[in-house]
Amino acid sequence: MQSTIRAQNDLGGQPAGPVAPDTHEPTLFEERVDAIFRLLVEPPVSLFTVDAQRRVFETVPEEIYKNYKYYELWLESIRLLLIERGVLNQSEIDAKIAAIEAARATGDRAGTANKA
Amino acid sequence: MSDTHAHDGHEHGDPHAPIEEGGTPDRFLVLEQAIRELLIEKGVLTADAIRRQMESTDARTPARGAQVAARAWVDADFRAWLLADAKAAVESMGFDISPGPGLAVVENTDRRHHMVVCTLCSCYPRKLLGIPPAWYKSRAYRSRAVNDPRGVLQEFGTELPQTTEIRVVDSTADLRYMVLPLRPRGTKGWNEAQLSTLVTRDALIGVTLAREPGS
Repeated sequence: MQSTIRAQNDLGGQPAGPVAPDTHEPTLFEERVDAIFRLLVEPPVSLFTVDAQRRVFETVPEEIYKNYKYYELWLESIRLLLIERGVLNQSEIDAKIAAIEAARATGDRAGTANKA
Repeated sequence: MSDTHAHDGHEHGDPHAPIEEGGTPDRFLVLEQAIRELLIEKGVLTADAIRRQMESTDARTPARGAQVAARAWVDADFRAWLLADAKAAVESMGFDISPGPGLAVVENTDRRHHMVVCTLCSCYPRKLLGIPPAWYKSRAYRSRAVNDPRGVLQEFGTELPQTTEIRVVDSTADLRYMVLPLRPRGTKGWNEAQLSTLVTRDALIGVTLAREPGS
């Protein structure tokens, strides 16, 4: 008697529609996320492993796993693993986001002022 | 509220027009910038290292795998080495795939066809071939490659005789697979450079065959 709990990322053999071959070219965002992840897992940085990332994919809430696009999920895994390893904390990430958005808003106003 | 449009989940009615890149919602672009800047400020990464990593990834393309396959087609000793110790054989051609997971090359023949999947995520011989194609990472491919390989192959326009055995190999974080396609007919006397033009990324994953001459 065996009951198996299948992890949400364990898709082999699950029902699914046709494969849509496509020619999507990576965007700058995707290339950056890919590069940052690669640098963080490889020496000399080696902060975490590909297996740790897969564990995140196994355990993030289902709505995130299903709805985030590929590199959005990668970015989320980077965020969670950097916090888990104590490299970053959420409040400094929030502060940085606020600073980026404030700088943008200032830039927007400056742009408007220049036109006036 | 539309049920038919699966938009990216940014807030509708937000007075700030989202700055999107390739359909990526703004909040991800800002989060990426925030994490990148914090990692640089803390000295974990440098902007230069990120730029060099992006360039290095750009240089890793399926053309490298095509050169490896072409050499295996013309050089029996190299083919044997590639099948026995792919990492060493590939690195002998100047393609540095270290540090990184193991690499295994599986050989297609008249009787046996291989195709590669990563059911758990997107493991791929990216150190050699670069970033995997979007469909390789899709739910549909990862789900169905293992229990409906012929159906998936047909979706790529690949029809194999019923007598051909299909083996699906599932990549892992520690071992990545590449297919050595069957050398096309009508290529007798072709050199490596000519042959490599027949080897596509999809043939190296095993969802198509190498191109026929003139196709």
